[in-house]
Amino acid sequence: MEIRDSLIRGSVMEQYIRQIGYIKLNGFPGGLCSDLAEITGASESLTVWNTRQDNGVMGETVCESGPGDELLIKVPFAGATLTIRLLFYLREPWMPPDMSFSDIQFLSRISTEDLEDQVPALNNWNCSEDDIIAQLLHQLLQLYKKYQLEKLDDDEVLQFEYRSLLKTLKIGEGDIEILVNSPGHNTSSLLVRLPLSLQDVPPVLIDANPGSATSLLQVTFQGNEGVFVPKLYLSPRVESLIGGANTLALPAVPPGTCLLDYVERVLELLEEKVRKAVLCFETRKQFIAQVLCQFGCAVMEYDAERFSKVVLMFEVKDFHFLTFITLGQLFPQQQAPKIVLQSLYHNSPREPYSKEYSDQKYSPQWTPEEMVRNVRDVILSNVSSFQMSSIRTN
Amino acid sequence: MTPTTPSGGDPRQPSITCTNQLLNKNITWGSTAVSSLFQTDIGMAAEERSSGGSSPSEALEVTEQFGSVTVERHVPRINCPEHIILVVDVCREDGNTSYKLADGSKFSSLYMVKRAITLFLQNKHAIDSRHKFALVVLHESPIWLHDFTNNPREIMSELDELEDAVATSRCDLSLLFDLIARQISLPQCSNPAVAPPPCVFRTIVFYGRSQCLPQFLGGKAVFTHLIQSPHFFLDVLYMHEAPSDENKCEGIFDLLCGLDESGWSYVLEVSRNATKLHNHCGSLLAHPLQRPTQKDVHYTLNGVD
Repeated sequence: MEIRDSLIRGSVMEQYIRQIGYIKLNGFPGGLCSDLAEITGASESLTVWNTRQDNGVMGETVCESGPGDELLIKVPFAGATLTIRLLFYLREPWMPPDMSFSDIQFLSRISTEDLEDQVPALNNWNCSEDDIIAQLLHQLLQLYKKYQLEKLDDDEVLQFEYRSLLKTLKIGEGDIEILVNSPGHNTSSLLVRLPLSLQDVPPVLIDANPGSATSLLQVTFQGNEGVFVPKLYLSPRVESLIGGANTLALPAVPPGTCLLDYVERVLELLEEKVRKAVLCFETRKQFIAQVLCQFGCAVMEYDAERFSKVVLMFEVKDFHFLTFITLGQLFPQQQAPKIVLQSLYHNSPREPYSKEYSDQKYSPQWTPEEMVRNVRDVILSNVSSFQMSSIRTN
Repeated sequence: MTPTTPSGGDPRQPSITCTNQLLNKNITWGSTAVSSLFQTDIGMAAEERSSGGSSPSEALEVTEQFGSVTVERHVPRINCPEHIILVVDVCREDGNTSYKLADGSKFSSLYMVKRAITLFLQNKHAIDSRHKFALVVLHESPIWLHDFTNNPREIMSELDELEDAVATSRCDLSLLFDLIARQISLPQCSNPAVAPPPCVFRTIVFYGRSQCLPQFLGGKAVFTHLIQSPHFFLDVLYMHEAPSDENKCEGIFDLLCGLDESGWSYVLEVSRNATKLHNHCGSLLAHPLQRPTQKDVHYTLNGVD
């Protein structure tokens, strides 16, 4: 009897582990920041939660349960964290888990009809399905969202702003998370996924970072004056193109700022950054093309993907030398091409002798042709002194 | 080392009209013209393929002309990592002469080639640290001394240890290419004209004998197999005594030139001129997928348009 028991428990355990594995593999279902969700075995004691438990029988099952029977799921939601605790009856696997939430009011406001309606997984708990826990979590999150939206009825201003955001940005309900008067605090917050498209960006600029191109703006309201604090989150794919979220200066929020106007401004700011990054890339490409046009017969190598570098070999009065031309991230507006001459004959002492030459006359208004001609002039005016110093250093 | 004026006749002279040839290719500044200059702009090539826009052959094949021969490129001009096999001939022949520098100092041929290769390694690494190098020593039979590494110092320390040895009477190229074929695996691309390869292999043979004709004593099958791959390249730097009736320099050089079956190799020669030796190693820095053909190179920088 004991062996059979443990065998059953063993296979139930395996199934349970597979179900958790499913979530970890496929990602937390739903939520704008789903990749930041955390799932762990619960290690805290249950006493804090027991007294607030509204459903299910705790009793003996609790005492005997080990840490493997509980799951603690922390889901980022509208800038705060919603924690869901699931307690599984592994000895009676046909029973759905008990649930408790960090938002204590949530369960007390939800009717049994709502639960039956919106969380069908509870009534149809099929413990042999790999994705049953994932389904449950997804339904719970959707129910929580709905609950928050119902609370919006009590806050006309916030409701108006929510609706205007949906309409003006032309986004769906799945693109906004809203938290009305979060428990314990008197603040509301919302998280909106900005419709920033990277569709026209040359793939080579972002392919190093696979994954979604997501831009999220979090807004926390303080008090009733409509004052809010913004925060920007960008996925790595976006950051690799326009820089880290913390390097982008968000516009200030003077009192009386309309939320909708502000969100639109932030979106425009991001779109401008994307346009600029693409323009920089195009300018680099034109510059390199011009170098190849004027000096193609002297080319050693050039960066054929991002067009950030070209290396050539030149000869002036029988003196041969290498020229490295590098285009940085701030080229063309704030940075001239970087010119380094390097020796073919002398090491100083371990690397070939090299020297950087700056371009005093550079102007971002020049055409690529003019820029390249100017680079040539800089090289020609510095070759003799480069030659002299490379010999001397040896 | 003070640079000296290059001396000696050069059977393969660079063409001076190459710059004009490049410009005469009708390049204007429309975006389609730019894209045809960059076969490697994969994003644009992909767009053209999917939209069925401008003819794909324009973007993918560029033919270059020199003299009466048309040479076609069959691979995108991408600066992928190179795996470079440096083959160093350590044979020392009777009556071999040294390099004499302007200050009177003398250095053996092997010393000079070691120095030149050191600078080559350092400069190639500075251009792109992904490039890898392997070292083969050519004496009686070729020996794979160091496997591919992108740390130039590893090759440099092996080079330091190399000493010259009495020249053997034969140089069997079949053995060399057999060895290389065993050590490398050529990239398999389903569509090499379009797909950028993960890497290319380039063998640079530094041959130093003036009396011994290198030959394929075991047949050319392996060599031919290697050379037909669009991702395998062969360059030769021939360092020899001054050509005379007493030696076979001209014949050897002709034979080495004959190894260039594709038209894309660089076959360079130098006779005891240190500057020219280093200049040639500079030419060899060029990436085989992006460099002009040898006849088209033109390094002179002019101030006048």
